[in-house]
Formats: sequence, structure tokens, C-alpha cells
Amino acid sequence: MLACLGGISAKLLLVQGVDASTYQAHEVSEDLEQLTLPAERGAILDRNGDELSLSVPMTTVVADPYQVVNPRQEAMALSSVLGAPEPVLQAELSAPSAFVYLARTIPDAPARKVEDLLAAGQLAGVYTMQEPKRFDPAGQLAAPLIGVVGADGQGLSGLEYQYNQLLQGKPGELVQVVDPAGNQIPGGVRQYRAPVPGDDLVLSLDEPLQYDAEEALARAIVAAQAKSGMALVMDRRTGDLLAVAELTMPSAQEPATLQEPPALPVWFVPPGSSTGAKGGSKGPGIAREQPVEAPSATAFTSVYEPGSVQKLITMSAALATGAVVPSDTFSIPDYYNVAGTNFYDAWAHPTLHWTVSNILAHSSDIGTIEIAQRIGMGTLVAYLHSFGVGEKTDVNFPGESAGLVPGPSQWSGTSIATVPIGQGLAVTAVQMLAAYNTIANGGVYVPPRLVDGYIGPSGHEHLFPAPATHRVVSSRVAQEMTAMLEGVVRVGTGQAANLEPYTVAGKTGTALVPSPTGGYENNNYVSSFAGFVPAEDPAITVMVVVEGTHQYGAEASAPVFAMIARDALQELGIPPHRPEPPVPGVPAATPYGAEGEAAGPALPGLQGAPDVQVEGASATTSTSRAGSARPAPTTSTSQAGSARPAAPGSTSRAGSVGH
Amino acid sequence: MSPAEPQRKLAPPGAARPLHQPGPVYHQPEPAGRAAEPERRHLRLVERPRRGPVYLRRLGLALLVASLTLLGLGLVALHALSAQDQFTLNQLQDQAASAQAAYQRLRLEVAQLEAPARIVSVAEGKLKMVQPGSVTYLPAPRPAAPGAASGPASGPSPAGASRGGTSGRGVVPAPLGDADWPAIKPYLTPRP
Repeated sequence: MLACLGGISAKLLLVQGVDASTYQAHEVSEDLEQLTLPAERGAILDRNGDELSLSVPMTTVVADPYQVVNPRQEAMALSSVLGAPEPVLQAELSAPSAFVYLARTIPDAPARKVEDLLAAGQLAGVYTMQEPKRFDPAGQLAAPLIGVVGADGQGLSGLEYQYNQLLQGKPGELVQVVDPAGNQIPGGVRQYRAPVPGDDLVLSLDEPLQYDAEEALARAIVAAQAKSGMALVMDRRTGDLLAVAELTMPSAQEPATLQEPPALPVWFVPPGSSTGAKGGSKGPGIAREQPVEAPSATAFTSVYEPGSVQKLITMSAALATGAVVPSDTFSIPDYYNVAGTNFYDAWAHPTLHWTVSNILAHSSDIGTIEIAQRIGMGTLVAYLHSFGVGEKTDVNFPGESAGLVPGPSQWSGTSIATVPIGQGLAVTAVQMLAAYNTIANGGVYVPPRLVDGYIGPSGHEHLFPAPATHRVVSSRVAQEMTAMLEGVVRVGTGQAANLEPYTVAGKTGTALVPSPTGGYENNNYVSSFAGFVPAEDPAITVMVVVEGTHQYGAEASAPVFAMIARDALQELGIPPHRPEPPVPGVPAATPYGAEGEAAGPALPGLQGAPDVQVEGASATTSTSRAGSARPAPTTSTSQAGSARPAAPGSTSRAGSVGH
Repeated sequence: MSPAEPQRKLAPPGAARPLHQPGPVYHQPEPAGRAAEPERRHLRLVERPRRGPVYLRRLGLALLVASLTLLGLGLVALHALSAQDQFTLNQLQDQAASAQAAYQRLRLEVAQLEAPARIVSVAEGKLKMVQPGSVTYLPAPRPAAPGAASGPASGPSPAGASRGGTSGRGVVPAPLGDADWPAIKPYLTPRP
């Protein structure tokens, strides 16, 4: 008896005294529950506050296999509810682990059935928990821009990745003592730190406009039998990107996750298809003819040779430097030799005598080369950079490309012929859009914006500061360019973009696609159209790019420009109007180019030129960022502002063909 | 009256007292020791019985038991209240989480209902609406100068926009400022 009591006492002493800390730690490890409370990820909104992406807590079914009494019976019960094979569930419920996922973020209906089974006591060791799931209410609309969120709530691509810190918030923590069933023991340890929800991101996109752009672009891709396309709409004044449509035809190379039903509830039949059958379908339920969202934001990340839309910069530089005026006449031969290489226009013609305006209207490569030779390669490249080509935009989109502008060490004898007509350099679509927007803004470059601001926990919107602008060409040059671009649509290659009674200023572009084996592919173009509307007081700038087509920009892209611009003007409530004589007492519309602007680096033609009367005003409104946003063009040549050489007329036959 | 009780002579009530007559004489009572001890058996002090250690121990034990009982009951009550509050707190937290989840679900539902793709799908599929083949633009009359009298103004007329009637094709009377705004506005607002 005494020995027994002694043994018990010894054990008691051992447990309560000597090994007390060990047992206490063991108790704490079993009873003390430490939970990380996920913060609610902020939503991504369009400029009107409509949700493009948001998180909703959903039910996740988990299990502790050590507590499961009858894995087979529970697997049978769960199989029909979760839609998972019974053997798989049974294997998970029998796994040698204390935690397994059975189904994550399931819909509400099966979640309620699981709760009913749990309440009936049929699922021992099975629990439910809440996990946020990311939804895109508008389907795949603008998906390449928005990006993807992983299962752990981390942004993996696009804006979800770029603004992950802002969106994800701060997770909370809960430490509490629980009983074996997981219920909190009253009076026990309890520490709670509430999670801080993420902020809502407000984009510059306009959801209806984005849909209109995607729909029009999808039709264009189908009609042109193209591989992919982009369509961008920009607010002329603020640089806000109102729509960025990026579509592609599905291919076997794309991840299966991208071959989901697209946001467009329309069915396209390509021209020449007799049946419109779903032939060539690559994915489940996806026809070859149905464009889908591009795998990435190609408007920022993908570069291409722009072709003739680049002539805007060439002409602007020539006008700004005083090398030409719109009425100057050039002799346009059938072909033109530069450094031993013959260059041709897209159509055969006898020697023509065209003004600068006509050269642009009819997109003559030879005429443009002749003009470019007056300003020189250095000045042209300086203007390219000032227009934003070769520089990343302030959007700083993940994976954004700066474009490819050949430096002086890369110039060849034919560079002065290829670069002015948009070959031999590469741009992103948003860069070229911003270049056209510069002319629409009276010569002031307004950086593109994709994110306007964010909405914090207080519900107030915090706007990001507007990026600094800088002047590229004078307002007089911008007006001359606008008039010339109007001519392109009125009588030139861009007549398909005509949008009467609106006035359109724009330019077509058709660039050959480089071949992987060198040279260019035949009958394979990047066709584009860029412009702004209404020309007399621009509201929006639009860019359409159709890639991998056999059609020229005038056919493939200009009509799409008109469709998108028409919808955008109606959406924005901009009536068509022509400048009318002022009515006494009625305030006149603000002329474009008269807004405040920041002074940029002086370009050849802007220094001391007679048409820079706005410069004084721009200098007074310069900001601290002005001047540092763009590198100073140090490659300007002595041709700027110099006397114009005689129009070249010498020709020599040799070499290859250029468009 | 007892023999030891002091005597005093009092004037009969209502009798007038002579001016030089001495007042009544009061005799001090004699000390008790001097007088004979009266018999007071029926009135005596009774000493309380002295409580022994057994009694005190019992009392202490009773108090201890009562205190412990009350303490125990108090603890139980406190624990019950704590548990009740915890239960209420858990319920409120669950309600808040459910309300937040419901709000997010409703927000998602509204966003899905407002999605352009769904609206177009319903309009074209269910309501059999069609996209317009072309858009006709009707120019609005020029705004009148403040204080200007009504007069003819050039420009085409929006159909039905002028209440003054047309005076010829493309020529309408000048609108009267704000009065014509309701007629003009439908041609200037964006489509829904």
C-alpha cells in the first residue's frame, strides 16, 4: 500500500514538478490554435466603379484523416456532393496526415449539402472553412491586363501582380485555446488581430467601351483571317486608356487554361467559310474561328514593326525642323535607291509630283524616305524618343517592352530609308497610340495611364498623381499634321475610317512580318490604323492593330477604328460638330494644345523656330519631373532648320524590296 | 413610597407663592451603601455563557464552507457568463463574416448582371434586339446668344426638335435658350 502511494506520489512529482514544462508545452501544442486570418483581397474596378475582378469567400472542405471513422462511407457521401470520384476521396480520407483538402472554394449549393451532412453527424473528421476565391464578373474581359491570382491569393501576372501589395491587404492572426473538437474554450488564451482588407484598384478602363472594342476587334480578326489583334482607346486629354483589347486565335501552343469560353457572346463566321462549322477546334467547345483573350498584355509587352503609321513621327519631325512644309512638292519615282537598295511604293506608278500632304495621304514610302533624308537619322531618332518610342511608358506594366529603336552603332546605310517608313524598328501598340495622342494634344505628349487610383478602407478614392507631360512639337506643327491626317481619311488610304459627320484624323499602316529565317514573310502583314476624333477638337485617340493577316491596314484595321470610335463617342456623349463662328456671349471650346504642359527637352525645330509661341507658356507650367522624363536628344544633326535640299530625283536599280 | 425617597413639599397648584418664601428643598438621595440593600432578585445582570474553542471551530468551518460555496457559485456564474459572452461573441463574429460574405456574393451577382456580355446576350437572345446597322446623327441647332431675339438660324433641324416649326428645309427658327433644351437634349445624350 505504501509502495503504491509512494509510486503515485513520485509520478505526481515527476509530472507536476520535474517535467512540468514539457507537459505544458505538449498541452499548448495540442490545445493552442494559431490561425492566420486571410485579408480580403481588394477588387479591381473600372473607371465607373464596376467590378472587373473581386474576391468572394467560398467554402473549402478539409479533413483530418486521423479522426475519420469510416473513410469508405464518408467518401460515398461526399462523392455525389463534391462531384469527385469516390476512390480519390477515400484515398484522401485514409491518408496518413492530419490535414487534407477534399475540395476548395466550392459553390454554395454543394457547400450547403456538406453542412447538412456535417450537422447530421455523418462526416466525422471532416470540416469546412472559408477561403477567398477570385472572380471576374465580366468574364474574360480585359483578362490579359488584369492578370491571374494564385490559389494562395498572390497576384501572379498583370495588374494583380503589379499592385499585389496594394490589393492583398495585411493578414490577421487569431491565437486561442480550443477543445479537441475545435471549439474555443471560454476564458482561455485568446489573441486577435483583425486582418486589414486590401484596397480596391481603380483602372482607367471603361467596361462597356472595353467590351465594344473587344467585340469589334474579334470581328476584325475573323474577317481578316488574322492571328491576333489589339485595339486601344485613349482619352486624349488625360492619357487614360479607356479600352485595351488584346485577342488572339486559339492555338495548340497556348495553355489550356486560356482556352476558356471568351467574354464575347457572338459567333463569327470567317469570310469564305461555306458552312461555318466548328472545324479546326482546338479546345473543348472552342472553335478555331472564335478569338480568345491573348495570353499576355501584348499592347505593352509585344513589339512589332509599325509600318506606315510611323510616318506620323517622320512627318512631324520634318515639319518641326522646318525641313518641309505641307505644300512642298516632291518628285516620286517608281523606285528609289538608298545605299544600293531599291525601295518601291506599294503600287507601281510613274514618276509623281506630290506635296507632303499627298505623300502622307497616299502613304508613299519613297516620298517619305526623301523627306526623311532632309532631317537625317539623328534627328529622326531623337523625335522617336520624344514621341515615346524606345521608352517604357509610365504605366510600367509587368514585362513591358521599351521597343527597339536602333542606336547610332546599329545604323546602316538603309536605316534612313527603313526607319522613316516604320521598318527596322519595333514599337509597342501603346507607344504608337501615345505618339498619335501627342498630335491630338497639340504637340504635347501625355503619358498613358492605366490605373487612376485606389479606394482605401475609408471608402475614399485616392488618385495617383498625373504623370508629367512634355512638348514634342509646336501647336502649329500639330495643327498641320492634323490637317494632313484628315486628308488621309478624306481622300487617302484611310477612307474606310471615315465617320461622318465626325471628322477623323488618322493613318494606315501595313508592315511586313519578319521571317525567322531572315528577311520578311510574303503576304503576311501587321495592319494597323491610328487616329483621333473629332479632328477639330479630339476627344479620343484610337489604335487598331491586326497581326498575321494578308490584308492591308486600310482594309483590316480602318473599318474597326470607325466602329470603335463611333461606339466610344456615343458612350462618352460627344456629339459631332464642326467649328462654327463664335456666338457672342457663348464661350468657345478650349482649343487643343492650350492646356498646361510641362517643358520637355528641346528638340531640333522647337528651339528658336518661329512657330513656338506656346513654348513660353509651357515653360511656366513645367514641373519638377519635366526634363528628366525623357533623355535629351543628343543625336540631332545639323540638318535641323537648315535650307532644304533639292528634291532628290536620282534613282538606281538594285537590291530588295521595301514596303 | 419607600422610606428612602426624598420628601419635598410642593405648593398646591394654583397657590401663589410668597416673595420671601424659600423654594422647595430637594434632598440628595443617599448612597446605596448607606441604605439597606433592597431585594432585587427579579432584576439582575446575566452573564453570557463563554463560547468555547469547539464552537469557534465550527463557526469558522461553516464560514469557510459558505465562503467556498459562494466562491464556487460565483466562479461558476462567472464562467457561465464568460461562456455565454464567448458564445455571443462567436455568434456575432460568425454573423459578421456571413454578412460580409453575403455582401461580397451580392456584389459579385450585381457585377455579373451588369456585365456587358450578359446584357448583350439577353438583349439579343431573349429580347430579340438587334444591333443598329448604321447610326444617324441629327445636328442640334446652334445655341442662341443671350438676350438675342428669336430669328432664323441656319443649319439642319433635328426631326421634331423644333417646336417653332420649320420655315424651310434645313432652316429652323433659333431656339429660345433653355426653353428648347428638353427638345435638344435627347439628341445630345449618349445612348443608354
